[in-house]
Amino acid sequence: MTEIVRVDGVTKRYGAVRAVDDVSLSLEEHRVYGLLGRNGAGKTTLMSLLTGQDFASEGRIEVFGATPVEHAGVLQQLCFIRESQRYPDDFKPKHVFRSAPWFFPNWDAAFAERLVGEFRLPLNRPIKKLSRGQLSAVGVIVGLASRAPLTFFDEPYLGLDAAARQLFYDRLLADIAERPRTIVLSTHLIDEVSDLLEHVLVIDQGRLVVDSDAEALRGSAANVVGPREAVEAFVAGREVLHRDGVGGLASVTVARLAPQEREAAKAAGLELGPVSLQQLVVRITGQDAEAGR
Amino acid sequence: MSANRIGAAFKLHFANPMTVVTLPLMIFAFIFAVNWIIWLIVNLAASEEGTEGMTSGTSWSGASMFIFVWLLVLAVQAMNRTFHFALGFGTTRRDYFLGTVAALLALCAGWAVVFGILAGLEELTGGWGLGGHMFAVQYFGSDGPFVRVWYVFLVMLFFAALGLIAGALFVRWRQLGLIGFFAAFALVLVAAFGTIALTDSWERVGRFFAGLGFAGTYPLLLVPVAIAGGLGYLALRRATARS
Repeated sequence: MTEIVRVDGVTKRYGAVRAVDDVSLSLEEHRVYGLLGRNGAGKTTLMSLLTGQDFASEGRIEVFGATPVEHAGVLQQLCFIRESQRYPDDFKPKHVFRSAPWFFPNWDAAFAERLVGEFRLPLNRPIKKLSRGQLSAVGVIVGLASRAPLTFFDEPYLGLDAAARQLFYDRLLADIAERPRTIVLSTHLIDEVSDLLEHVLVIDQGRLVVDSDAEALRGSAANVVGPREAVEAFVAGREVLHRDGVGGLASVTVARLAPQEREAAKAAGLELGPVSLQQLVVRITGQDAEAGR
Repeated sequence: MSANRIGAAFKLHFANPMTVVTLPLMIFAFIFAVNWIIWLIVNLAASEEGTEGMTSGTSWSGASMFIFVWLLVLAVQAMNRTFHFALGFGTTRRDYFLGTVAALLALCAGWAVVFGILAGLEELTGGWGLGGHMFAVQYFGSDGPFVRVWYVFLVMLFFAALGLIAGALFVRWRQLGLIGFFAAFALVLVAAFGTIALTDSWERVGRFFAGLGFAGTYPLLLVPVAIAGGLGYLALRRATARS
């Protein structure tokens, strides 16, 4: 696997706020990354830094072997349409798609045209008059048809109806199978994208709290259910993400369980349930509130 | 830096020609039509003496000033309109800035040529058949059509540069940038006037410009144009998608 992004101890401060706080990570070629986290966690800021749209306060960023800031050769290989992307006031979608090929060397106009039809996007309506879902569709179409080696999708699902979300999902999968590239999907609608992700990055209050293969992450956590005393005895000393329970029954989410530990749990008469990626992220990033902080 | 990427930023400004080309041309045509109708009314209503008065009066016409103001507004908006979008499409700030400057240069040149042709027509047709003036006006001298185009171009460039720096400051610092710019601009003007007034040099200043004439004075506009261009780039260089 070829590393295409290397982030080393990057911090971005806005006044006293650390929007991105000492983040280090690396992205490999031809994988689909999920950048997950709550609103205001720092997802968009991190992507702005990776695409040279913003400047890091500390740390080093390398994308395709160079710092992305003001580096035309690097920027040409990126596509990042932000969720709150500002378009020229007088633009209609047709102007966006007209100008896209001037900037993206791999732009596929026929593909874009097909997507416009499939998403039922009105080409001739001023951008300002588009609904939230139609606006998201503009970003999704640019992201797909630009075929940039490193493409960021920032909350692509916002306002899209179920059919359009499925369409995005299908087209993305089909297209990256044909033309492999690296995708970073930022969203807080985790269940919707969960199957698509190969690697998960969870960011919370600016800090990277999970950087893991998606399969491993899904496989490692578990809900332990059973009589309260037995459950508590079993999870003692483990990393507990969440506690729930009614009467004498308890359900506790633990972050990691090895196969032999699973056997032990079953032997103790406890039930083990799977934890969805969304539950896992909610448990990890919701901890502060639960702790009463 | 590449001509391709600068060209992309350049074309972005014209992606919707309605805003930059079609609409101002239509407004310009309308203003001309209204002026022409007024000249016609004056011609029909006034005595011969009155008509002559109009001919000399309109030679100081400000009817065409619309296009200079339009260009100023367009230049102010140019960056705010397209900067964040261009950034999203992966341009460098440098390529974007150069493309924007090129677009404004092209607009100034285009309008100067249009202006020059219309001025030539105005002279050929004896003021559009009515002795009116809108283009061949005194402000741009009487040194022939080519020199007039050059003067008009320089004045346009000045307005465009003023708009460019205001736009760049707005993109970088929003309202604070604009307020700071106009405050600084006001202070510079006051300082200049104060210096001249207190040293009793109005006459010398007058003689200086008189000595230069139109041919020497108009090119002086290139000084503020260059300063505005440089400062505009410095402001834009650290602008972000958030600002």
